[in-house]
Amino acid sequence: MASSTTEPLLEIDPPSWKDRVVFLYRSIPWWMVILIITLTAALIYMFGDEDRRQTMAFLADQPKLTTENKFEVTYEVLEDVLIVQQSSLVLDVENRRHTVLDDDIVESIPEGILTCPPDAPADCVSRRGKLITYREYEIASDLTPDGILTVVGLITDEQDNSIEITLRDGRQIQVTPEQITKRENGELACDRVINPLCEPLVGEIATIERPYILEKGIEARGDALVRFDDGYETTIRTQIIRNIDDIEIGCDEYPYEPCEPIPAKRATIPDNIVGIETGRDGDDILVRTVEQQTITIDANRVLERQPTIVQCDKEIDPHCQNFDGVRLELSGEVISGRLTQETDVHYFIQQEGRSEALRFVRRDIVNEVRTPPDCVDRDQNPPCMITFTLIGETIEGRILSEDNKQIVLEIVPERIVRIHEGDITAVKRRVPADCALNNPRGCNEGIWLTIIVTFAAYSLALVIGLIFGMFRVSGVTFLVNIATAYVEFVRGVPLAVLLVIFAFVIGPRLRDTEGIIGDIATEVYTGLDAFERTVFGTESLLAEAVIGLAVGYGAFLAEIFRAGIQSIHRGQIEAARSLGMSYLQSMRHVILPQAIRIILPPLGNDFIAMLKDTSLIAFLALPDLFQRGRADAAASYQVIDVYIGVAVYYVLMTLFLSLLVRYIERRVRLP
Amino acid sequence: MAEEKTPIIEIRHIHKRFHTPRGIVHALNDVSLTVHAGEVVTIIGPSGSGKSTLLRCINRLETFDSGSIVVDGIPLRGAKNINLIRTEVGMVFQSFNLFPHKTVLENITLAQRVVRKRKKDEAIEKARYLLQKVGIADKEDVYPSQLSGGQQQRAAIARALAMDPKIMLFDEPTSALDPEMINEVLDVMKALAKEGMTMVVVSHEMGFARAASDRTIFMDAGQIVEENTPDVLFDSPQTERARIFLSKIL
Repeated sequence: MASSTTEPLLEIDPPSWKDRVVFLYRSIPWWMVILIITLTAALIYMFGDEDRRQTMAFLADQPKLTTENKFEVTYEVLEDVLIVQQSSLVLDVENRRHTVLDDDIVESIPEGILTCPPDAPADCVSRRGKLITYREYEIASDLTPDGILTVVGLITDEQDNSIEITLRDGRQIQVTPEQITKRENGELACDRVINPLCEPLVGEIATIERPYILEKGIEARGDALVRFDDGYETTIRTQIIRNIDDIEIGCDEYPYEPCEPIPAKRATIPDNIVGIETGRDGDDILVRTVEQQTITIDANRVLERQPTIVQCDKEIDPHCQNFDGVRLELSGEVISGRLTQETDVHYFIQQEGRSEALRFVRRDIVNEVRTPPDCVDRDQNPPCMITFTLIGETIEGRILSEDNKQIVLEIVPERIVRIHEGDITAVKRRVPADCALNNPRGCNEGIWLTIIVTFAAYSLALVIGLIFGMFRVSGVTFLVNIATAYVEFVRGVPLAVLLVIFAFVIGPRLRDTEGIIGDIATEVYTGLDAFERTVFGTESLLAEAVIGLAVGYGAFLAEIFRAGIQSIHRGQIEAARSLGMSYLQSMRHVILPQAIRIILPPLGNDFIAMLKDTSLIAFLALPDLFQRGRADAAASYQVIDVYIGVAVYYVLMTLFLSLLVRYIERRVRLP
Repeated sequence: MAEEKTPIIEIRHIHKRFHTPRGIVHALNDVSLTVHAGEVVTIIGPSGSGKSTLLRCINRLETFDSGSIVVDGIPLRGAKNINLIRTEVGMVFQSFNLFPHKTVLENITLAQRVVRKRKKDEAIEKARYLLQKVGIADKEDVYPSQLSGGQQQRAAIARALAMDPKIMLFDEPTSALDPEMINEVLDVMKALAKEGMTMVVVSHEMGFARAASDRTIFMDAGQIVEENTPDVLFDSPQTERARIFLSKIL
């Protein structure tokens, strides 16, 4: 017996060179070579032909399709700004708010306690926080001042018992003649931090003693009015300031003599700039920011409207696209409110119901009416109310909605922001959504949906196919007929029709059914919708699409499974049964493992076919690769680019699946 | 060999008919047979005589229309758990029917684990012992397709033995084998017979029948025609039909 098991050792000659060539020739995956050659030829054709090259150059010129501009970038930068004015909003023991200018703060304790005075009302609560001691100039006559501050200012108005003094920073105060200790003609430099081009104060200069009392309060908020290099001013919270440097403002651009450098504070604050890089200038990055703003316009202000092509600024961005919109001629807006501060350049208006004062440039103001007439900003009782009209303006943009009261207009002002590279602390890129050949990232979502749907539907189809395939071979008449009816019916309905039926007929029908079936269906669909909301953020017909595809393909897979099971020799199940295994055990351990090896090629074939057929879910408005491609093609008119891109991505995906199926086949192949 | 007379298979008047479009084939016609524990019975007969059908009825791979079969005290008709009976009755097929997707070792451990619920180590130990016994201990990790026919049949015998059956049924175990491999299988079967296994063998191997079996049965046309010791049946058959058949095959 032992002798019969030893195999004879045959002597093997080395292969001839001819054999080697033949084997090498056979081992090359020619199908892949042919594919690569075809794709290369297509690309060479696309870029080689002059017309095509121009088209490609045109496509590359489209900002949203070029490689550099594929991203919308958020640059987090640290910017240096000039602190124009700092103030604190403080709360006193009685919970009243006071705005205190930085200059009037005498002492600031970071961790202080504001205790209630002995005669405080019962509900007074001691406060903890940044304790600020500041000068308060408005004092009741029966109080003794805590001190006297000497200031100088220009006498701008003199009444019997009240003299108006304009201070260096442009603020005006009222004093009594007794407070003035010295008056002489002269010149007083203005505060060039507040207004870089302010005129010196010339005239009768007074030295005033302002009595004050010291008040304490807890800081609720720190504000700073800051000015960017381009002159843009805004109010920020002081807590975001990273760093403050003392600087001096020079006299380079100041037209008046004499001029002395004046101390000022420069702060570093973080800022976000969102835009597209358009170029570089040394270390500076030029970023085009497009801020889509929605503004609401009072319909009464519209004097004239006409459709127009909104011109974009080609000098800023040569690639920008004009768009259809409207041009609105507007009458000036009417503003009314309390005049809280008045400078050479600005009015500050406190409108009713708003906490912050709005700033208006005096140059833009016409038809100013004050009540009472000739009142000024520091009048307290009655306060100075002002009504004025802004100069009319022309606005271009896209109307989002309108009724007879107001128009909501989207305007797209563009500007180039210069960012110093060293200032950038972080860069966040956001992938734009356009799906095209040179922007595969734009197709990602669609590709993912296609892959998810393919795998989900195919897994489900495998289960359905396996169950019905086993029904077909079970020999139980009832099951055989059920399975046959299913296969024959579903196989005869086009997949697209099946999808629509599952989404719009069966789903709603089941849910509307009375009784237990309807209840179960409602539960199931509610659960699926909830699942979609958690995973994809929105409800859709995704579940219906997956079920439809799975049921459609299940019929084909059932036939494949049936053929596979029937192809296994009868002796296999007899052997398994004779060993005491049940029918299902025999199926699971003996028949199916063998059948699946045989049916892997047709299964893989249907897998690939299903990946392509997922494009049918576009019928259900699901944004898979094809649907996204269609949408982008419709939006950009770049039909060639988009559809060739979509086709290439499908080919790549199916190639991947082919390789996967081959790999699995190799792995499970029996010796 | 089988001196103690405990009936382990009792076949009483069974009938089996196949209904075909061309008519009813009477595959088994009033067959009765008793096999005692430890007995080795060989069945011979021409093709289509119902030998295999009778064998397959014993572990109910085939159903029968009337009569009764009692295996190890359990009547097959109406048996609640046929799988329980099948574990007691090992079967070896003409075409081996090894599971091609499993190695020899896995072939032998599968049913032990799935049906007998044995632990993996226990099943492997048993399988190795049986492979040793049938003489292919070195082949445990190869697939059936890499084995010769004789080796495959021995693996199949080991697979059946792994369930610890009380009865072994052999359905022409050597007829698909090349002549030089027949003996290696018959040697295993003889060894098994010596150990006292109850065996029902459908086979035309006269050498085996003479050497190992207690009784030989000649079947024709679905009936048991002659039942005798092998020596008597092969050398001087009592019936005309047996004599004609034997004259053809010898």
